[in-house]
Amino acid sequence: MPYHHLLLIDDDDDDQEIFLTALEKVSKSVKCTTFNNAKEALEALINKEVEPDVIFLDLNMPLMNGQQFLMEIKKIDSLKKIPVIIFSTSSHSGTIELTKELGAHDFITKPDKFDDLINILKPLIN
Amino acid sequence: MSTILIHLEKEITKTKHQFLQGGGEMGELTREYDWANTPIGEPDKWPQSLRTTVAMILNSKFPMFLWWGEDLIQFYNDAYRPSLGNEGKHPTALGQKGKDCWPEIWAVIYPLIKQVRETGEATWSEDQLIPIYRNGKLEDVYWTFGYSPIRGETEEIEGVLVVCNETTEKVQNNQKLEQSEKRFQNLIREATVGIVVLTGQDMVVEVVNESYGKLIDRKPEELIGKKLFEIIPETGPYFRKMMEGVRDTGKPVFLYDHPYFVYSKGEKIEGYLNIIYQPYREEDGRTTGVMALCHDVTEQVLSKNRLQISEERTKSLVESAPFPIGVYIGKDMVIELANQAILDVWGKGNDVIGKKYSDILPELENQKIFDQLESVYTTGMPFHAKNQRVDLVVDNKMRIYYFNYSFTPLYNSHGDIYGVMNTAADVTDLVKIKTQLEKSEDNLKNTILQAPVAMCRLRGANHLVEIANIRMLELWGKTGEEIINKPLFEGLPEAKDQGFEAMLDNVYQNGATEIAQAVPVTLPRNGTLEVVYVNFVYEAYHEPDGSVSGIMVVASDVTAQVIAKNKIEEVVAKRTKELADTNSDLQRSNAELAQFAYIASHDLQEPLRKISTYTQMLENQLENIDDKSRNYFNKITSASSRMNKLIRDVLTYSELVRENDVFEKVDLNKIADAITNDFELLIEQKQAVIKYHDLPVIEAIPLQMSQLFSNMLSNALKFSKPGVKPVITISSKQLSSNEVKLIPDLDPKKLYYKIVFKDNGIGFRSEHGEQIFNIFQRLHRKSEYEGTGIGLAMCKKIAKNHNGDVNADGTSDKGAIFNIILPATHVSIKK
Repeated sequence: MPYHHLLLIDDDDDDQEIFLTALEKVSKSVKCTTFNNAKEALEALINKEVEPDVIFLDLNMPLMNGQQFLMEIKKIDSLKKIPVIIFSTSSHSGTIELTKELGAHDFITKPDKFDDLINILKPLIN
Repeated sequence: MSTILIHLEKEITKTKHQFLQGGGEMGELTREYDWANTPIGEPDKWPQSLRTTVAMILNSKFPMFLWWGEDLIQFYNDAYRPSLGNEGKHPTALGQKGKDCWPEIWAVIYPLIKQVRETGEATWSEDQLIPIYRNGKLEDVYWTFGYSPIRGETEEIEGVLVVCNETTEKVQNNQKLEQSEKRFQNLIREATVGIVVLTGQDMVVEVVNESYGKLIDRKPEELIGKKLFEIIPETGPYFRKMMEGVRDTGKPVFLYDHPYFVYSKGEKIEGYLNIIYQPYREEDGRTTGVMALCHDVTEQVLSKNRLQISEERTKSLVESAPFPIGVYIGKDMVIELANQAILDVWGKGNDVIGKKYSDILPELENQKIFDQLESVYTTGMPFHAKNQRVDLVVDNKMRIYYFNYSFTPLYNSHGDIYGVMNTAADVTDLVKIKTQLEKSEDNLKNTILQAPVAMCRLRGANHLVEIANIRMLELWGKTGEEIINKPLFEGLPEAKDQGFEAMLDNVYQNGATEIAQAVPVTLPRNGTLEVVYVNFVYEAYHEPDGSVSGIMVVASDVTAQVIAKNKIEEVVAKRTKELADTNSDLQRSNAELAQFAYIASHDLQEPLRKISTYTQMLENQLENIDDKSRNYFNKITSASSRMNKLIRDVLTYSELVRENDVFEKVDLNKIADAITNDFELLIEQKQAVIKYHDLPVIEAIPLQMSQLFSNMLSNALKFSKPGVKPVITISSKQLSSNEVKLIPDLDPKKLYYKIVFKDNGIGFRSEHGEQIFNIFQRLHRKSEYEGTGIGLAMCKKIAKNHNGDVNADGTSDKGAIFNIILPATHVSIKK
């Protein structure tokens, strides 16, 4: 099921920029809201200020990391059904396993190559 | 008629009864007898028949006796006279009336007299018993006699003439003979000795008695007149020959305790006989047979045998008795019996039997033993000695022994002493022990006094200090005068109430042993009290009878040692804590390092990824770029790619530390299969040959095994010689226990495999054998062989993670050999 409204939570502005650039290459119509603070993102979600149909979540973030965010969102009935795709530098198997257990829908390791990112996003959006 | 009578009277008067001339004593007595007072009157008036008869009687040498007339007046001659004996009826019988003379036999003889007088017929009696009184008693007298009538002038029977012969002697002889014959018969018949007389060539039984019959279980009637050896043929072979020999030679044969057997009614009867074979002679001296006298001595022989057996038993009992027994006979003390035990004591052999005691044991000469023996022999008083020292020469050496011994007199059946019995018990060991005991008491005292440790002996329930050496006094902090011969706690009150009373009482009352080490005790030292540390042993002192009479105390002052030990312990404890702290620091720092490596590599990846991504974005943004710029872009991409690989390897390496994977059974053949599969492209490209087979199954972490094989194989492929097809062999071998011992960190009790990766690549110089396993260690320029220098370090880490080892063997240009040593089972897994 192609997603129309994406929420990206990543404290790294560069990564946000790379993600959005790649997303633009894949689709002009898809909407993407970004937060560089998981706590703010969670509040916005609770207050329904933002209603995405998929969340891309970085893990290594200050204040509230990805895992904490994942646990919180899975506690809220109105939000727990939104698929969460982990978007992290890590490729460590233990980390992948752990997030799956916390309810993550998928796990994407941030690729080295820009083209690879485009190739990853393509099937998700179209 | 009257004329003749007158004439005769004249003649008689003239010659004093002429017709009575001669006749010896009886003639004289008859002439002198006063016949006038008898019914027959003076001889002158006697009828002629009387005169003639009396004259005949008196002159006959044949014993004659006459009864005359109604009154049976008696006459007899000298020949008859002895029959009347002495002090009997002679001479009163002369002229006496028959009835008065023979009252004792009148009833016998009167009927005969009467018969002769009435019938006129003479009688004849032979060997008739007519007892008469003579020789002072009534005697049985035998007579052969005839009574004849004597007729007078009137043809009337006037007298009875007895012509007699006393046959007492003959009769008695006959009787004796008969009796003797009878006795003989009886003797034979009733003899307990079996008697048989055999005559003739056929050995016919002539005489046999019951006893003989009994011997062969036959009745005499069955035997008489029969051939003996037809009845008992089984005795023939031996006895018949023997008897024929006697019969033929006339020489008797004597057999003693001779066994025999016969069959009777199907049963075997056997026994022992004493036999006398006598030649049986006829009156004329011819030997016609054999008489056998057989005396059944079966019982005697059997009991003799039993006696012999019992004697032998007794002898053997004596022989085998565990204590010495000897029997010496006669004044010379000749050894008749000496059992093995006494021979052992003497150190002699059996040849002493029959020799003199004094010859056998001359060394006893001055040891009073001979005197003791002689005294027992002469006085019959037994001699007993206890714990007596006796010096004997054994094995040619004079040795000292101690004995309890007895000399007992031996008496024969007459009650005379014929020898001495010697019994003894060797108590040498006991006496020695006793002597040693006494010696050891002295030794003990010396030992205590000279002991290199503190020693003392306490006596009695109040633990009186009997003896104590200098060291003990020093330990107590007392002088001898203060404590010796005093109860311990009286002499050493400072030691009271420190728990020693109970221990000492326990030893004294229960025979227990108390051992204590490094016990603190407060004792006087230089006028004050100090705590010293003491090792001591309280041991019950036993008397020979087993009772406890005191306590042996051995002690040593170990204060210095205890202080030193405490100091050492303190230091050790401090060091141990430091070590533990260091260890924990090290662990923490290791963990931190691993964490650092992880975080660092993780965080390093991020900017690198961005460089890479942005470079590509820039490249995409710039539509037309020249070759030079493109080359720069490629350099940036290549450098960042290499950087990325480095970081990933470091990450993997750091994860090997953190890894908490489970050990499982891993088939290394399957791992090799999977890895060769992964490298398929490269293998094909390099035309490499990978050989392996029969790799073991071991307990390992599967992922790490994959990593290990991957690194080794990738290494071997990477360092192949240019222009040479790589040949890589993976082999395995079980390490021998000696090989295991040569490698320091291995457990010699475990089973290890050596996995050998051998290639034909460029190899390495042997001096780099150790170096190559260090992290980031490279031997070549990056441009020659790409790599991060982490691969072999990872392999080493994996081997160490499995409690194994790695080493490499290389020569430049000759290929490399990598030995990976891995245990067959995980060391922490307990079966």
